[in-house]
Amino acid sequence: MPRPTLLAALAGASLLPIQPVFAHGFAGPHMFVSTLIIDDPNVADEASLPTFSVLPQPNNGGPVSDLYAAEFEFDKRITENFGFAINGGYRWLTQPDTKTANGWENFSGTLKYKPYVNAEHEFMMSVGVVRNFARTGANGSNGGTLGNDDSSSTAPTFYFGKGFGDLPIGWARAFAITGELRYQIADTKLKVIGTDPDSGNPLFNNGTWNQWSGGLSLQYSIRYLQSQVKDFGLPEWVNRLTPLVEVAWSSPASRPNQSSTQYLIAPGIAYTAETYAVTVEALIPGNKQTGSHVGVIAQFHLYFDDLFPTSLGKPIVNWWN
Amino acid sequence: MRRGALIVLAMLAQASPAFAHAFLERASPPVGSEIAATPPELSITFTEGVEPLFSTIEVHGASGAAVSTGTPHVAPGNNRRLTVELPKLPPGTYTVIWHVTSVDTHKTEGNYQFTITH
Repeated sequence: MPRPTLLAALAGASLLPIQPVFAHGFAGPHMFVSTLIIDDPNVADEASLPTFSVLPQPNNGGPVSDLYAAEFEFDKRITENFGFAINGGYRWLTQPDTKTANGWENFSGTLKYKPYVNAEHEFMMSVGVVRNFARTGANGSNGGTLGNDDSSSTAPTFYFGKGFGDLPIGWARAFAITGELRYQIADTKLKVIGTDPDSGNPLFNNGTWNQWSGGLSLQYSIRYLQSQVKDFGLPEWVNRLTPLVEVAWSSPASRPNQSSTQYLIAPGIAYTAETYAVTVEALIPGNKQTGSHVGVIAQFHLYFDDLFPTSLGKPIVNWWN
Repeated sequence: MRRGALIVLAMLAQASPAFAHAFLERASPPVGSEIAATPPELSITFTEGVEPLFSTIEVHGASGAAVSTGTPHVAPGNNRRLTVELPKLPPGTYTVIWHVTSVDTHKTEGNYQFTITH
């Protein structure tokens, strides 16, 4: 099993299972924008195509490896509040003094159901199951180097979003928070199967470990401020901006494991147009186990419900209506 | 698999032009503003065209009582601007609650306040 790589986590692999499932959704007048390192609570017809990222890896004082990724996601509603998502991508890991490793990520799929929206209080919650399919991307030692798991896993997940429109302070009402909490269960648990006779280090099977993970985003909607609180006469392009900061975390929940608690902080800004959104965030490691240098992530996001409102942007059950 | 791909292609081929959710772009009286006297009408300009038959604008006084307004209508040739007539209102803070359906059937909603000072 390779050393955990943080970007593997961003792509939904076993270590920091921050699934880049990105959607926008309304709870009353508050729209939650697409988030890049955690999933958002909405079920939608959207695509992230592509998401680019680069993240220097933990180096323990030595030369730094950089992990690049180009990823995609497709979200589709089956009914109004029930849908699925498919994630995949390609990675390049530059390694000092050796050849760059590259290959496909393992694919993952999500089923998500949004049972509750409270428009008056700008609240939304949903539940989902994320399945990471092992050996659908690069495997063997190359896949391991890139952070792909050899064991599939399943992660029940809870999502929520809450606008601050209830607050009595006008400017503060433009804030919103979204979050997720998930527990990842490995199909094959990691086990010690012996000892390396040369190094004396333990040898492991191809399994992985269970883990908790989650995250929060804090968003400030200029659109909400302008249309709900006070119109300051700002240009329209400014009204489309949403500064935000995301925080993601993961922690092993079973032993043995080959990871540790990791934190990632991602401040950035989203620009939301009629049919697309562009978001750029810095990736700041929260501890040494996560990394020692700042990376960056950027995404181009398409809203199919706005691009194709009478066809691909409708729930599948309504395609023949 | 091939049949599924053909269905998707057919659906994309018949896709209508891109529209989007209707957000409040500008309002008169402006959102959060203080004005001296009641204007003859209240209008909201949205980022997309709206369907007046499926859109509402309500105005409520500080006590929560609804103000009698006319039926929402759009200006000829400009379906982005939704308007209602206003009666003469006493000084106070008023809340506007709007629900609109954009021309591509997306629904959005919002509310804001304005104050009449004299």
